[in-house]
Amino acid sequence: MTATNASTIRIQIKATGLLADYLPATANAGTAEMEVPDGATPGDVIERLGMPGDARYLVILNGHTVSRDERGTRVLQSGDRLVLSPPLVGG
Amino acid sequence: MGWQRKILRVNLTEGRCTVEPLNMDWAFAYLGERGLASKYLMEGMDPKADPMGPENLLIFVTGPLTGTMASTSGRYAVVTKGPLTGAIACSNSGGKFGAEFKFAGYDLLIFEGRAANPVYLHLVDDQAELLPADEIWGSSVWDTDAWLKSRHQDSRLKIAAIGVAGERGVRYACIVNDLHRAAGRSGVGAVMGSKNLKAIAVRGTRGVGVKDPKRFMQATRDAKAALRDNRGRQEMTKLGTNAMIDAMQEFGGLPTRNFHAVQFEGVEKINPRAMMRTHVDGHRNLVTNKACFGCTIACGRIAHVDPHHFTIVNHKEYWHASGGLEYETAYAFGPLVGVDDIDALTFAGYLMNEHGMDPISFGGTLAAAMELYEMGVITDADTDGVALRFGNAEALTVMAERTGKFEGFGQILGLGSKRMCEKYGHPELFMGVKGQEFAGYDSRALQGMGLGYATSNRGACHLKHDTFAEDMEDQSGNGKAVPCKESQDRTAMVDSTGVCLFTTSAWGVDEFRAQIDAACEGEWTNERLLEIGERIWNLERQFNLAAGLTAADDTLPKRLLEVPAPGGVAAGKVCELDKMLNEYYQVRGWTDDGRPSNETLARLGL
Repeated sequence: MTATNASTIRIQIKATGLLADYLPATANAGTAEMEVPDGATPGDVIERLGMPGDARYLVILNGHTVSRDERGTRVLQSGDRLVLSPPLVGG
Repeated sequence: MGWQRKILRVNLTEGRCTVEPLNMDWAFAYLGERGLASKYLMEGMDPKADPMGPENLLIFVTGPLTGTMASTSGRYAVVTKGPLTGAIACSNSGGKFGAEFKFAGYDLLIFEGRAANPVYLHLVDDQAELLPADEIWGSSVWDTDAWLKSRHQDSRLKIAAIGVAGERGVRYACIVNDLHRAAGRSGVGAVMGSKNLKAIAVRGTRGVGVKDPKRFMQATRDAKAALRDNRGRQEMTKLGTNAMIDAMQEFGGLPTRNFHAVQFEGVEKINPRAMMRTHVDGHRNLVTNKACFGCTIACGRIAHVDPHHFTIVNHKEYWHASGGLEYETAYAFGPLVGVDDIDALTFAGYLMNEHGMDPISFGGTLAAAMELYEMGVITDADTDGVALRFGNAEALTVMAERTGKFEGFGQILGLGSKRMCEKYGHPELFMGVKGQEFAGYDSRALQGMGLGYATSNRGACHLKHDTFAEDMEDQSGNGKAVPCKESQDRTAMVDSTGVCLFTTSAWGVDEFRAQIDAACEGEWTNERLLEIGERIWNLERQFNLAAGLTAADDTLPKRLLEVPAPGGVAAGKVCELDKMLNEYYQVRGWTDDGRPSNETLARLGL
């Protein structure tokens, strides 16, 4: 487990649908590596990327869903894989 | 106002077309489209009748908003008893055909009996005639469309037709309109074929009146603004419904290889990004998007298959652009059968439209056949020498064509997965409910979807309820019964208006009410509309119970109830249907054995 400096950690972020448009320019196939402040939450990442705030996003952290309540409190760890999906409209 | 107040009754046995007034009591109680036609079906036939026999009714129906300025007002439905399921079938379609027969002046076209020889209906405003279809019997949907336009010297005819699959009774044959839209599920095309009815060709030159035009203009304008600004709608416009495949992959709800897995390693080759990728030679799968009549969403895709691809390299007739991948086709021809060749998926999709078959049911049946083949239950000797292995793109495209033409092993695939699996002694490999194959959602991951699948009146269906938000938030069976029931009622209402279900990305009941109240006689409230939805749901249930279905049919295959999901967010989980079903019956006001109680029936006027 390494942090690139004392106050940031590196995570992998995947965004599906049009949310992929908000990823950094380095993103490939909807996936990017990002440095975020130590102690950041999924809610912080959503805000940092400039994504419109929407409680109905699907948030998956390391293969487990993050409930709406936890988005602002769950602390990310270095090497985490965070997935963000827009609200689903079925068809 | 809204309604045309007219139906056309076509007695195919006697070769007679008669015009009748619309039953307005029924229109006010059931609204239109799905609800109204279900009432006509219930009152017009014995639910125990053979779906492929002359007693079955085949009803084409619009809603009061069809053909108006409301966004997405191109919708119509085909309602009948389904040969795939033995249950009520309500299959919804877009394109232009529905608005056109509304413009011709009709709310419903009801086909009864069976023609002695193949016929088609030619309908131009007041003129309705049944004409011989001998020259097109045996033709594909596309050839039929071209022949009719030439025969009548009218390129603006709107045509709904079946292919050979419908003629020969493929259990999931569908009715294709406007070349690549379809009333897809439950085998409504086979009913049409059983009646020797090849096509309906219609031109309509009248408009659709509304009660309060000024208020209607305002209501539709406000509703369009809501759609325009909605981000869910924007996803569908830009990416098409196949955007779902990436979300389901990450979630772990993407049924793969006949539901053996819930994630598919080939997703990046068949997702919207793959559809929009430009290759070095300039080829790109996606050409553009496409809208149905009156639609401001345009979720439809138009695609090109790579002309060098093995499927069409020697077939110039397929080098044109045609209907591209939407989610269910991508799922059924991709992960479900293990294939990641985007051109094979797209070409197989073309064949579904050309020959008139439901891609979901075809893919589900092929997936089960692949499992039988890999088990050694069927061999090359059965399958015309084609290796039906998961992942074999050639198996997908060759068998799609064989089934469409009802040739070789295609005749077995044409039975549908349930009957085919029973034939080979492995009923447990059928992945569906009430004979109808599942859509692209694994209900070990999406639990509310499992309840929706099990209780949908037309067999496994992902469109009859909406518990996506609840299923994303909570992967248990807790708290799913109420949102499932409420969304079923709401969806039944939406399916009865004549506009598209995808407006629900932005529209709540308020938006539907505002448009209906401005268009239709009477006073319309949210409560009245939702009660209509509940009434429709219970009427459909009554039809099914009278047809012989029971609560025992509200179930899921063992693979979902007993085999834990192998990965994804619900790894280790099975579908908790037993936890959800009893609560659901209670919430519905039904008895423990799944029958609407007398109180519920009385409250709904049933």
